[in-house]
Amino acid sequence: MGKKNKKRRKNQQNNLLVLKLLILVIIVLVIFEGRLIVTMFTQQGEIEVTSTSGTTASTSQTDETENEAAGTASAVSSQNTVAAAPLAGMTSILARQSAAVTPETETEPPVDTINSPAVVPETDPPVDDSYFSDAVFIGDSRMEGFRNASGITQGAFLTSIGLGIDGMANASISTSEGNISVYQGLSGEQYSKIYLLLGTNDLGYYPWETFEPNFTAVVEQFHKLQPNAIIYVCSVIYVEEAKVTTSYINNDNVAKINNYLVDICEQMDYCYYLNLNEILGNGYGSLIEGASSDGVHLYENYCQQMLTYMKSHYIDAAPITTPDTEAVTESESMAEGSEMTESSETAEAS
Amino acid sequence: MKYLRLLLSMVLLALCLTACSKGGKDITVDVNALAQKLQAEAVTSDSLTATASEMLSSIYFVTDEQLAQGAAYMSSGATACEVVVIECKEASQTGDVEKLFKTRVANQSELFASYNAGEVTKLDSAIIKSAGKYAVLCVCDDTAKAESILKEAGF
Repeated sequence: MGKKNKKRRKNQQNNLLVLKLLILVIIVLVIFEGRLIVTMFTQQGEIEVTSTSGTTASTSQTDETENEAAGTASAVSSQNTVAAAPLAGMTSILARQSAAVTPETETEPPVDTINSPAVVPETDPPVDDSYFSDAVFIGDSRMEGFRNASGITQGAFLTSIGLGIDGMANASISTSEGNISVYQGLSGEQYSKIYLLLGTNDLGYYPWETFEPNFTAVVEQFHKLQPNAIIYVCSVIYVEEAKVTTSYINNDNVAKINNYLVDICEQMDYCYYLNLNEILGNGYGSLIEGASSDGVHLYENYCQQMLTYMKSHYIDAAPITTPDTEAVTESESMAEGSEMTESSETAEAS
Repeated sequence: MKYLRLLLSMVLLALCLTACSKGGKDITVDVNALAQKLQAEAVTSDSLTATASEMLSSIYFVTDEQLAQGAAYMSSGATACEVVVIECKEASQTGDVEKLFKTRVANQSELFASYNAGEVTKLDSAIIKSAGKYAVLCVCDDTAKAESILKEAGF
Protein backbone atom coordinates (compact mmCIF):
# COMPACT_ATOMS: atom_id res chain seq x y z
CA MET A 1 0.00 0.00 0.00
CA GLY A 2 2.78 2.32 1.03
CA LYS A 3 4.67 1.44 -2.13
CA LYS A 4 1.58 2.29 -4.25
CA ASN A 5 1.20 5.66 -2.55
CA LYS A 6 4.86 6.38 -3.06
CA LYS A 7 4.56 5.50 -6.78
CA ARG A 8 1.42 7.66 -7.16
CA ARG A 9 3.14 10.54 -5.41
CA LYS A 10 6.15 10.12 -7.67
CA ASN A 11 3.90 10.11 -10.75
CA GLN A 12 2.15 13.24 -9.52
CA GLN A 13 5.52 14.90 -8.96
CA ASN A 14 6.61 13.94 -12.47
CA ASN A 15 3.37 15.31 -13.95
CA LEU A 16 3.85 18.49 -11.98
CA LEU A 17 7.40 18.79 -13.27
CA VAL A 18 6.24 18.33 -16.89
CA LEU A 19 3.49 20.89 -16.32
CA LYS A 20 5.99 23.34 -14.84
CA LEU A 21 8.29 22.83 -17.83
CA LEU A 22 5.42 23.41 -20.23
CA ILE A 23 4.48 26.63 -18.42
CA LEU A 24 8.12 27.73 -18.56
CA VAL A 25 8.26 27.08 -22.32
CA ILE A 26 5.03 29.02 -22.83
CA ILE A 27 6.34 31.93 -20.75
CA VAL A 28 9.58 32.00 -22.76
CA LEU A 29 7.59 31.89 -25.99
CA VAL A 30 5.29 34.68 -24.87
CA ILE A 31 8.21 36.84 -23.75
CA PHE A 32 10.44 36.37 -26.75
CA GLU A 33 7.99 35.63 -29.53
CA GLY A 34 4.96 37.45 -28.16
CA ARG A 35 4.89 40.04 -30.91
CA LEU A 36 5.16 37.36 -33.55
CA ILE A 37 2.34 35.33 -32.00
CA VAL A 38 0.10 38.41 -31.76
CA THR A 39 0.90 39.30 -35.36
CA MET A 40 0.23 35.75 -36.51
CA PHE A 41 -3.20 35.82 -34.91
CA THR A 42 -4.10 39.27 -36.24
CA GLN A 43 -2.86 38.36 -39.72
CA GLN A 44 -4.88 35.16 -39.63
CA GLY A 45 -8.02 37.08 -38.76
CA GLU A 46 -7.53 39.61 -41.50
CA ILE A 47 -6.72 37.00 -44.12
CA GLU A 48 -9.88 35.11 -43.24
CA VAL A 49 -11.95 38.28 -43.56
CA THR A 50 -10.36 39.10 -46.90
CA SER A 51 -10.76 35.66 -48.36
CA THR A 52 -14.37 35.26 -47.32
CA SER A 53 -15.42 38.65 -48.63
CA GLY A 54 -13.51 38.10 -51.85
CA THR A 55 -12.36 41.69 -52.04
CA THR A 56 -9.98 42.96 -54.68
CA ALA A 57 -6.70 44.68 -53.96
CA SER A 58 -8.21 48.09 -54.45
CA THR A 59 -11.10 47.60 -52.05
CA SER A 60 -8.66 46.14 -49.59
CA GLN A 61 -6.67 49.34 -49.79
CA THR A 62 -9.64 51.28 -48.48
CA ASP A 63 -10.00 48.84 -45.64
CA GLU A 64 -6.31 49.18 -44.92
CA THR A 65 -6.57 52.92 -44.59
CA GLU A 66 -9.22 52.39 -41.96
CA ASN A 67 -7.13 49.74 -40.27
CA GLU A 68 -4.11 52.02 -40.08
CA ALA A 69 -5.59 53.85 -37.13
CA ALA A 70 -5.66 50.61 -35.21
CA GLY A 71 -2.04 50.07 -36.10
CA THR A 72 -2.62 46.85 -38.00
CA ALA A 73 -1.25 45.89 -41.33
CA SER A 74 -2.16 43.46 -44.05
CA ALA A 75 -1.82 43.12 -47.76
CA VAL A 76 -3.38 41.30 -50.66
CA SER A 77 -1.59 40.24 -53.80
CA SER A 78 -3.15 40.26 -57.20
CA GLN A 79 -2.45 36.58 -57.69
CA ASN A 80 -4.69 35.26 -54.91
CA THR A 81 -1.64 34.89 -52.77
CA VAL A 82 -1.63 35.45 -49.08
CA ALA A 83 -0.35 38.77 -47.96
CA ALA A 84 1.97 38.83 -45.04
CA ALA A 85 3.28 41.98 -43.43
CA PRO A 86 4.14 41.01 -39.91
CA LEU A 87 5.51 44.32 -38.74
CA ALA A 88 2.71 46.01 -36.86
CA GLY A 89 2.20 49.71 -37.50
CA MET A 90 3.21 49.65 -41.17
CA THR A 91 1.47 52.29 -43.20
CA SER A 92 -0.72 52.15 -46.25
CA ILE A 93 2.02 51.33 -48.73
CA LEU A 94 1.60 47.78 -47.53
CA ALA A 95 -1.87 47.82 -48.98
CA ARG A 96 -0.17 48.06 -52.36
CA GLN A 97 2.67 45.83 -51.43
CA SER A 98 2.18 42.19 -51.07
CA ALA A 99 4.59 39.74 -49.63
CA ALA A 100 3.65 37.08 -52.09
CA VAL A 101 3.79 33.79 -50.28
CA THR A 102 1.99 30.95 -51.94
CA PRO A 103 1.42 27.76 -49.99
CA GLU A 104 3.98 26.02 -52.21
CA THR A 105 6.68 28.63 -51.60
CA GLU A 106 6.20 29.30 -47.92
CA THR A 107 9.84 28.58 -47.19
CA GLU A 108 11.09 31.14 -49.73
CA PRO A 109 11.48 34.73 -48.58
CA PRO A 110 8.50 36.88 -49.55
CA VAL A 111 8.86 39.64 -52.14
CA ASP A 112 7.79 43.26 -51.76
CA THR A 113 5.62 43.76 -54.81
CA ILE A 114 3.34 46.70 -55.57
CA ASN A 115 0.14 46.52 -57.54
CA SER A 116 0.11 49.64 -59.64
CA PRO A 117 0.16 50.32 -63.39
CA ALA A 118 2.97 52.81 -62.76
CA VAL A 119 5.37 50.11 -61.61
CA VAL A 120 7.95 49.14 -64.24
CA PRO A 121 7.58 45.41 -64.92
CA GLU A 122 10.40 43.03 -65.68
CA THR A 123 11.22 43.30 -69.37
CA ASP A 124 12.97 40.78 -71.54
CA PRO A 125 15.70 40.86 -72.73
CA PRO A 126 17.72 42.81 -70.21
CA VAL A 127 19.60 45.79 -71.59
CA ASP A 128 23.32 46.43 -71.24
CA ASP A 129 25.14 49.54 -70.01
CA SER A 130 24.71 51.29 -73.36
CA TYR A 131 21.05 51.81 -72.40
CA PHE A 132 22.28 54.35 -69.85
CA SER A 133 24.43 56.32 -72.30
CA ASP A 134 21.63 58.88 -72.71
CA ALA A 135 20.49 58.72 -69.09
CA VAL A 136 21.02 61.05 -66.21
CA PHE A 137 20.95 59.82 -62.62
CA ILE A 138 19.81 62.30 -59.99
CA GLY A 139 20.01 61.55 -56.33
CA ASP A 140 21.52 61.69 -52.89
CA SER A 141 24.32 59.74 -51.23
CA ARG A 142 22.53 56.49 -51.99
CA MET A 143 22.70 57.28 -55.69
CA GLU A 144 26.36 58.23 -55.25
CA GLY A 145 26.93 54.86 -53.64
CA PHE A 146 25.22 53.25 -56.62
CA ARG A 147 27.51 55.13 -59.01
CA ASN A 148 30.58 54.19 -56.98
CA ALA A 149 29.90 50.54 -56.34
CA SER A 150 27.45 49.11 -58.89
CA GLY A 151 30.00 48.88 -61.69
CA ILE A 152 27.91 51.09 -63.98
CA THR A 153 30.05 52.51 -66.77
CA GLN A 154 27.74 54.93 -68.55
CA GLY A 155 25.38 57.77 -67.79
CA ALA A 156 25.63 61.24 -66.30
CA PHE A 157 25.29 61.74 -62.58
CA LEU A 158 23.86 64.77 -60.81
CA THR A 159 24.26 63.68 -57.25
CA SER A 160 25.02 65.27 -53.95
CA ILE A 161 25.37 64.10 -50.37
CA GLY A 162 22.23 65.04 -48.44
CA LEU A 163 20.22 66.05 -51.50
CA GLY A 164 16.50 66.38 -50.85
CA ILE A 165 13.62 67.68 -52.91
CA ASP A 166 13.94 71.17 -51.50
CA GLY A 167 17.55 71.33 -52.61
CA MET A 168 17.10 71.14 -56.38
CA ALA A 169 17.72 74.85 -56.87
CA ASN A 170 20.75 74.89 -54.56
CA ALA A 171 24.22 74.82 -56.10
CA SER A 172 25.20 71.47 -54.61
CA ILE A 173 26.25 69.49 -57.67
CA SER A 174 29.98 69.53 -58.35
CA THR A 175 31.27 70.19 -61.84
CA SER A 176 34.67 71.12 -63.21
CA GLU A 177 33.43 74.72 -63.47
CA GLY A 178 32.15 74.88 -59.91
CA ASN A 179 28.95 73.91 -58.19
CA ILE A 180 25.61 74.05 -59.96
CA SER A 181 22.01 73.16 -59.15
CA VAL A 182 20.25 70.07 -60.47
CA TYR A 183 18.12 72.34 -62.65
CA GLN A 184 21.24 73.86 -64.17
CA GLY A 185 22.64 70.39 -64.70
CA LEU A 186 19.55 69.47 -66.71
CA SER A 187 19.59 72.64 -68.78
CA GLY A 188 22.20 71.69 -71.34
CA GLU A 189 22.43 68.23 -72.86
CA GLN A 190 19.15 66.47 -73.59
CA TYR A 191 18.68 63.02 -72.12
CA SER A 192 16.21 60.24 -72.90
CA LYS A 193 15.97 58.85 -69.40
CA ILE A 194 16.09 60.37 -65.96
CA TYR A 195 16.55 58.15 -62.93
CA LEU A 196 15.59 59.69 -59.60
CA LEU A 197 16.69 58.22 -56.31
CA LEU A 198 15.52 60.81 -53.84
CA GLY A 199 13.47 60.91 -50.69
CA THR A 200 15.73 59.43 -48.02
CA ASN A 201 16.65 62.94 -46.87
CA ASP A 202 12.98 63.88 -46.97
CA LEU A 203 11.81 61.15 -44.61
CA GLY A 204 9.96 62.84 -41.83
CA TYR A 205 9.07 65.67 -44.21
CA TYR A 206 7.09 68.31 -42.43
CA PRO A 207 4.23 68.78 -43.00
CA TRP A 208 3.77 65.52 -44.94
CA GLU A 209 0.90 66.92 -47.01
CA THR A 210 3.32 69.24 -48.81
CA PHE A 211 5.65 66.45 -49.92
CA GLU A 212 3.54 65.26 -52.83
CA PRO A 213 2.92 68.70 -54.41
CA ASN A 214 6.56 69.66 -53.93
CA PHE A 215 7.90 66.45 -55.42
CA THR A 216 5.41 66.81 -58.28
CA ALA A 217 6.64 70.35 -58.89
CA VAL A 218 10.24 69.12 -59.03
CA VAL A 219 9.36 66.37 -61.50
CA GLU A 220 7.43 68.85 -63.63
CA GLN A 221 10.49 71.10 -63.73
CA PHE A 222 12.61 68.18 -64.84
CA HIS A 223 10.08 67.42 -67.56
CA LYS A 224 10.16 71.01 -68.78
CA LEU A 225 13.94 70.91 -68.98
CA GLN A 226 14.03 67.43 -70.50
CA PRO A 227 10.72 67.05 -72.36
CA ASN A 228 11.83 63.96 -74.28
CA ALA A 229 12.96 62.00 -71.26
CA ILE A 230 11.02 59.35 -69.44
CA ILE A 231 11.44 59.61 -65.72
CA TYR A 232 12.13 56.54 -63.61
CA VAL A 233 11.28 57.32 -60.01
CA CYS A 234 13.12 54.81 -57.85
CA SER A 235 11.50 53.75 -54.63
CA VAL A 236 13.12 54.97 -51.48
CA ILE A 237 15.04 51.91 -50.39
CA TYR A 238 14.15 50.47 -47.03
CA VAL A 239 16.55 50.91 -44.13
CA GLU A 240 17.84 48.57 -41.46
CA GLU A 241 16.39 50.37 -38.47
CA ALA A 242 18.63 48.73 -35.88
CA LYS A 243 21.65 50.44 -37.46
CA VAL A 244 20.10 53.84 -38.14
CA THR A 245 20.73 56.60 -35.64
CA THR A 246 18.34 59.22 -37.04
CA SER A 247 14.87 58.69 -35.61
CA TYR A 248 12.86 59.85 -38.63
CA ILE A 249 14.76 57.51 -40.96
CA ASN A 250 12.55 54.52 -40.39
CA ASN A 251 10.61 52.06 -42.53
CA ASP A 252 7.21 53.50 -41.63
CA ASN A 253 8.32 56.77 -43.21
CA VAL A 254 9.89 54.94 -46.15
CA ALA A 255 6.56 53.21 -46.75
CA LYS A 256 4.71 56.49 -46.47
CA ILE A 257 6.97 58.35 -48.89
CA ASN A 258 6.89 55.47 -51.39
CA ASN A 259 3.12 55.60 -51.32
CA TYR A 260 3.35 59.24 -52.40
CA LEU A 261 5.85 58.37 -55.12
CA VAL A 262 3.59 55.69 -56.56
CA ASP A 263 0.69 58.18 -56.53
CA ILE A 264 2.80 60.74 -58.40
CA CYS A 265 3.87 58.17 -61.01
CA GLU A 266 0.25 57.12 -61.51
CA GLN A 267 -0.72 60.72 -62.20
CA MET A 268 2.12 61.62 -64.61
CA ASP A 269 2.29 59.71 -67.86
CA TYR A 270 6.04 60.21 -68.26
CA CYS A 271 6.87 58.89 -64.80
CA TYR A 272 7.46 55.25 -63.96
CA TYR A 273 8.04 53.68 -60.58
CA LEU A 274 11.06 51.41 -60.13
CA ASN A 275 10.36 49.26 -57.12
CA LEU A 276 13.89 48.58 -55.90
CA ASN A 277 12.52 47.16 -52.67
CA GLU A 278 11.40 44.17 -54.69
CA ILE A 279 15.02 42.99 -54.51
CA LEU A 280 16.37 45.01 -51.58
CA GLY A 281 13.49 44.52 -49.17
CA ASN A 282 13.34 41.49 -46.91
CA GLY A 283 9.65 40.97 -47.65
CA TYR A 284 8.64 42.37 -44.28
CA GLY A 285 9.03 46.07 -44.97
CA SER A 286 12.71 46.38 -44.13
CA LEU A 287 16.08 46.38 -45.85
CA ILE A 288 17.73 42.98 -46.17
CA GLU A 289 19.72 42.41 -43.01
CA GLY A 290 23.43 43.00 -43.55
CA ALA A 291 23.00 44.91 -46.81
CA SER A 292 24.45 48.08 -45.35
CA SER A 293 27.07 49.20 -42.87
CA ASP A 294 24.99 52.03 -41.43
CA GLY A 295 21.51 50.77 -42.29
CA VAL A 296 21.15 53.20 -45.20
CA HIS A 297 24.04 53.01 -47.67
CA LEU A 298 24.30 49.76 -49.57
CA TYR A 299 27.25 47.46 -49.89
CA GLU A 300 28.74 46.76 -53.32
CA ASN A 301 26.87 43.50 -53.87
CA TYR A 302 23.48 45.19 -53.39
CA CYS A 303 24.42 48.12 -55.64
CA GLN A 304 25.27 45.57 -58.30
CA GLN A 305 21.87 43.95 -57.77
CA MET A 306 20.28 47.37 -58.21
CA LEU A 307 22.02 47.77 -61.56
CA THR A 308 20.93 44.31 -62.67
CA TYR A 309 17.36 45.19 -61.67
CA MET A 310 17.48 48.45 -63.64
CA LYS A 311 18.73 46.56 -66.69
CA SER A 312 15.80 44.15 -66.56
CA HIS A 313 13.16 46.74 -65.62
CA TYR A 314 12.78 49.38 -68.27
CA ILE A 315 10.13 50.88 -70.50
CA ASP A 316 10.39 49.37 -73.92
CA ALA A 317 8.96 52.33 -75.81
CA ALA A 318 10.02 55.08 -78.16
CA PRO A 319 11.22 58.29 -76.49
CA ILE A 320 8.50 60.74 -75.54
CA THR A 321 7.88 63.34 -78.21
CA THR A 322 5.65 66.18 -77.19
CA PRO A 323 5.74 68.76 -80.00
CA ASP A 324 3.95 71.36 -77.91
CA THR A 325 6.57 71.10 -75.16
CA GLU A 326 9.93 72.76 -75.60
CA ALA A 327 12.75 72.68 -73.14
CA VAL A 328 12.57 75.78 -70.97
CA THR A 329 15.58 77.94 -70.39
CA GLU A 330 17.73 77.56 -67.32
CA SER A 331 16.64 80.95 -65.91
CA GLU A 332 12.95 80.07 -66.34
CA SER A 333 13.55 76.83 -64.55
CA MET A 334 15.47 78.51 -61.75
CA ALA A 335 12.73 81.08 -61.28
CA GLU A 336 10.08 78.38 -61.08
CA GLY A 337 12.31 76.28 -58.84
CA SER A 338 12.78 79.09 -56.38
CA GLU A 339 9.02 79.72 -56.38
CA MET A 340 8.53 76.11 -55.42
CA THR A 341 11.10 76.36 -52.66
CA GLU A 342 9.50 79.52 -51.33
CA SER A 343 6.06 77.92 -51.27
CA SER A 344 7.56 74.94 -49.48
CA GLU A 345 9.18 77.16 -46.89
CA THR A 346 5.91 78.98 -46.38
CA ALA A 347 4.14 75.69 -45.90
CA GLU A 348 6.75 74.54 -43.41
CA ALA A 349 6.57 77.80 -41.53
CA SER A 350 2.82 77.46 -41.30
CA MET B 1 83.43 83.88 -74.21
CA LYS B 2 84.43 80.32 -73.37
CA TYR B 3 83.30 80.77 -69.79
CA LEU B 4 80.07 82.36 -70.94
CA ARG B 5 79.25 79.35 -73.18
CA LEU B 6 80.05 76.98 -70.35
CA LEU B 7 77.86 78.94 -67.97
CA LEU B 8 74.99 79.05 -70.48
CA SER B 9 75.13 75.30 -71.14
CA MET B 10 75.18 74.63 -67.40
CA VAL B 11 72.13 76.82 -66.88
CA LEU B 12 70.31 75.07 -69.76
CA LEU B 13 71.18 71.67 -68.32
CA ALA B 14 69.90 72.71 -64.91
CA LEU B 15 66.69 74.02 -66.45
CA CYS B 16 66.17 70.76 -68.38
CA LEU B 17 66.67 68.69 -65.25
CA THR B 18 64.26 70.71 -63.14
CA ALA B 19 61.63 70.65 -65.90
CA CYS B 20 61.65 66.84 -66.09
CA SER B 21 58.54 66.56 -63.99
CA LYS B 22 56.51 68.75 -61.75
CA GLY B 23 56.81 66.25 -58.96
CA GLY B 24 60.54 66.21 -59.52
CA LYS B 25 60.62 62.41 -59.73
CA ASP B 26 60.43 59.96 -62.56
CA ILE B 27 58.61 57.02 -61.07
CA THR B 28 56.47 54.17 -62.30
CA VAL B 29 53.44 53.19 -60.26
CA ASP B 30 50.89 50.41 -60.58
CA VAL B 31 47.84 52.63 -60.05
CA ASN B 32 45.50 49.76 -59.21
CA ALA B 33 47.87 48.20 -56.70
CA LEU B 34 48.63 51.52 -55.00
CA ALA B 35 44.94 52.48 -54.72
CA GLN B 36 44.11 49.03 -53.42
CA LYS B 37 46.89 49.15 -50.82
CA LEU B 38 45.89 52.60 -49.62
CA GLN B 39 42.24 51.68 -49.16
CA ALA B 40 43.01 48.34 -47.56
CA GLU B 41 45.52 49.66 -45.04
CA ALA B 42 44.62 53.29 -44.39
CA VAL B 43 40.80 53.11 -44.40
CA THR B 44 39.43 51.41 -41.33
CA SER B 45 35.98 52.93 -40.84
CA ASP B 46 34.45 51.86 -44.14
CA SER B 47 34.63 49.18 -46.80
CA LEU B 48 35.49 50.96 -50.01
CA THR B 49 34.74 49.42 -53.37
CA ALA B 50 36.47 49.77 -56.71
CA THR B 51 34.69 52.28 -58.93
CA ALA B 52 34.55 51.74 -62.68
CA SER B 53 37.33 53.76 -64.30
CA GLU B 54 34.77 55.10 -66.80
CA MET B 55 33.21 57.04 -63.94
CA LEU B 56 36.39 58.90 -62.96
CA SER B 57 35.79 61.78 -65.32
CA SER B 58 32.29 62.41 -63.94
CA ILE B 59 33.48 62.26 -60.34
CA TYR B 60 36.77 64.13 -60.54
CA PHE B 61 36.32 65.94 -63.87
CA VAL B 62 39.61 64.67 -65.18
CA THR B 63 39.52 65.06 -68.96
CA ASP B 64 40.38 62.45 -71.56
CA GLU B 65 43.35 64.61 -72.51
CA GLN B 66 44.68 64.34 -68.97
CA LEU B 67 43.81 60.77 -68.06
CA ALA B 68 46.10 57.91 -69.06
CA GLN B 69 44.65 55.54 -66.47
CA GLY B 70 43.23 55.65 -63.00
CA ALA B 71 41.93 53.61 -60.12
CA ALA B 72 39.47 54.69 -57.45
CA TYR B 73 38.02 53.13 -54.34
CA MET B 74 34.96 54.88 -52.99
CA SER B 75 32.51 54.74 -50.14
CA SER B 76 28.93 53.52 -50.25
CA GLY B 77 28.03 57.03 -49.14
CA ALA B 78 28.32 56.33 -45.45
CA THR B 79 31.70 58.03 -45.01
CA ALA B 80 33.88 60.57 -46.80
CA CYS B 81 36.68 58.04 -47.32
CA GLU B 82 37.98 57.67 -50.84
CA VAL B 83 41.20 56.82 -52.62
CA VAL B 84 42.06 57.70 -56.19
CA VAL B 85 45.30 57.34 -58.11
CA ILE B 86 45.51 58.99 -61.52
CA GLU B 87 48.21 58.57 -64.10
CA CYS B 88 48.30 61.63 -66.33
CA LYS B 89 49.40 61.60 -69.92
CA GLU B 90 51.99 64.27 -69.17
CA ALA B 91 53.77 64.98 -65.90
CA SER B 92 52.96 68.65 -66.34
CA GLN B 93 49.23 67.85 -65.97
CA THR B 94 49.45 66.62 -62.38
CA GLY B 95 49.21 70.17 -61.06
CA ASP B 96 45.80 70.61 -62.69
CA VAL B 97 44.64 67.24 -61.39
CA GLU B 98 45.75 68.22 -57.89
CA LYS B 99 43.61 71.35 -58.21
CA LEU B 100 40.63 69.17 -59.18
CA PHE B 101 41.24 67.03 -56.11
CA LYS B 102 41.37 70.13 -53.90
CA THR B 103 38.05 71.30 -55.35
CA ARG B 104 36.58 67.86 -54.74
CA VAL B 105 37.71 67.89 -51.09
CA ALA B 106 36.35 71.40 -50.56
CA ASN B 107 32.96 70.44 -52.02
CA GLN B 108 32.76 67.24 -50.01
CA SER B 109 33.66 69.14 -46.82
CA GLU B 110 30.85 71.59 -47.43
CA LEU B 111 28.32 68.82 -48.05
CA PHE B 112 29.42 66.61 -45.17
CA ALA B 113 29.40 69.55 -42.75
CA SER B 114 25.61 69.54 -42.77
CA TYR B 115 25.18 65.83 -43.39
CA ASN B 116 27.71 64.00 -41.26
CA ALA B 117 30.02 66.53 -39.61
CA GLY B 118 32.27 63.87 -38.12
CA GLU B 119 33.61 63.11 -41.57
CA VAL B 120 34.86 66.64 -42.13
CA THR B 121 37.97 65.98 -40.02
CA LYS B 122 38.97 63.23 -42.45
CA LEU B 123 38.53 65.65 -45.34
CA ASP B 124 40.56 68.27 -43.49
CA SER B 125 43.44 65.79 -43.39
CA ALA B 126 43.02 64.65 -47.00
CA ILE B 127 46.30 63.75 -48.65
CA ILE B 128 46.85 65.20 -52.10
CA LYS B 129 50.22 64.41 -53.65
CA SER B 130 51.84 64.01 -57.00
CA ALA B 131 55.03 62.51 -58.34
CA GLY B 132 56.07 62.04 -61.92
CA LYS B 133 52.90 61.52 -63.96
CA TYR B 134 50.86 60.44 -60.97
CA ALA B 135 48.48 62.26 -58.68
CA VAL B 136 46.87 60.81 -55.57
CA LEU B 137 43.93 61.78 -53.39
CA CYS B 138 43.48 59.83 -50.19
CA VAL B 139 40.76 60.58 -47.63
CA CYS B 140 41.26 58.00 -44.92
CA ASP B 141 41.40 57.22 -41.23
CA ASP B 142 45.11 56.44 -40.84
CA THR B 143 46.94 59.28 -42.58
CA ALA B 144 50.32 58.22 -41.16
CA LYS B 145 49.93 54.82 -42.77
CA ALA B 146 48.86 56.40 -46.05
CA GLU B 147 51.85 58.75 -46.00
CA SER B 148 54.18 55.82 -45.39
CA ILE B 149 52.66 53.83 -48.28
CA LEU B 150 52.99 56.82 -50.57
CA LYS B 151 56.57 57.47 -49.50
CA GLU B 152 57.39 53.86 -50.25
CA ALA B 153 55.79 54.26 -53.70
CA GLY B 154 58.00 57.25 -54.45
CA PHE B 155 55.73 60.19 -53.57
